[in-house]
Amino acid sequence: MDCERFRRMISKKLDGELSRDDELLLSKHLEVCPDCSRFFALTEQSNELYRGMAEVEVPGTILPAIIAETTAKERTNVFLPRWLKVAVAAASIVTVLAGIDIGKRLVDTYTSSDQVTLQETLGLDYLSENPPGSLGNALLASSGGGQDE
Amino acid sequence: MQDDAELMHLTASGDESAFRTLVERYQGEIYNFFLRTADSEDDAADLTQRLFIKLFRSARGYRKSSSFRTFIFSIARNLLIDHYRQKNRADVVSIDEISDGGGEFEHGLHDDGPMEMIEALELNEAFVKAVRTLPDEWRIAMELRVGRQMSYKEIASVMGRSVSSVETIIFRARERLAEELKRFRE
Repeated sequence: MDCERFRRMISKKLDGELSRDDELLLSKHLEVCPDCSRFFALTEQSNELYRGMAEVEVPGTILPAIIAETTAKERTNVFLPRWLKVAVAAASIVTVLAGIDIGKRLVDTYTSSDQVTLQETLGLDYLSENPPGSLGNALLASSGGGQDE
Repeated sequence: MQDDAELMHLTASGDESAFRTLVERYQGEIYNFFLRTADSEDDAADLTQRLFIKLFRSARGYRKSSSFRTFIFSIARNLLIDHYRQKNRADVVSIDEISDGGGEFEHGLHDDGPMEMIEALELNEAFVKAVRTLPDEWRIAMELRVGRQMSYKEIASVMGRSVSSVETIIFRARERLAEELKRFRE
C-alpha cells in the first residue's frame, strides 16, 4: 500500500484542501492501516499544539518608530515625482550658470571704467575700506585723499 | 472599513493617517509571523519595522494584482530570507541555540493535575523547539498555513513556488513534527 500518498492526503485534509473523492479513499485506508492512523493522530496533535501558541502583543515602541522613520525626510524623497526632481535640478544649474555669466559681464563692464567703481554702481560703496561719512574717510579728506567732496 | 489597496493609494499621495491605519491593521500578524520564524524578539521587532518602512516606500509602485495580505507577506518572507542570509545561519540550528521567544502557549492541553500539567508544558516546549529546528522554508510555510491560515495558493504566491511544491513542504514539515512528537512520547 502506498502509505506516503495517504499521508500526503492527511496533511491536505488537515488544511481543508482534500477533495471529496480523496476523503473517501483516505477514510477507507485509515480503517485498515494503523501506521497511517497513528500519523493522522500525531499530525492532528501537532496542528493543535501549533494553534495553541499564543499570539504575542506587539511592543508599543514599534508603531512610533515606524511613523518617525516614514515622516518628513522620507516623504520628500518618496513623493516628489521624478520629472519634478529633474526639473528642480535643471533650474538650479541654469540659475547658477546665469549668475556666473551676469557677474562676469558686470565685472567686465565696470572694471574697464575709470570713472565709476563696481561697488558704487551696485550701491555697495559703504563696504569700501573708508566709506563716505566715516571717520576714516574724514581723516583721508583732511589729508586730501578722501571720497567726500 | 477602508480597503487595504485604497489605503496604499492614499499613502502614496502622502496621507499619513492611511499609512498608520495599515500599520495598525497588520503589525500584530506581521510581528507574530516574525516572532515564530526569526531568531529572537529583537529580530522580530526589527524586521517588523523594516517591513513597514519598505511597504511605505513601495506605496507609489503598488498595483492591486494579488491580495494585499499576500503582497505584505511576500515582503515579510523576502526580508526573512535576507535576515537568514545575513545571520549566515545553518538551515537547521541546534536545539541548544534556540531561545523560547515567541513560543509561549496560551494554555496547556491538560489541566487536570500537576503531573499532567508538567507533561503538557514539557510537550509544548519540545514542540516549539521542534518547530524552530525545521528548515527555514518549511517553517515559513507552516507558519503561513497553520499560524496565518493561508491557503496553499496564497502561500505559493508568497513564497514564489508552485502549489504542489508548497503542499510537499508542508507535508514534510508535518512528518518531521509528527516524528518529534512520537519521540517525545516514547
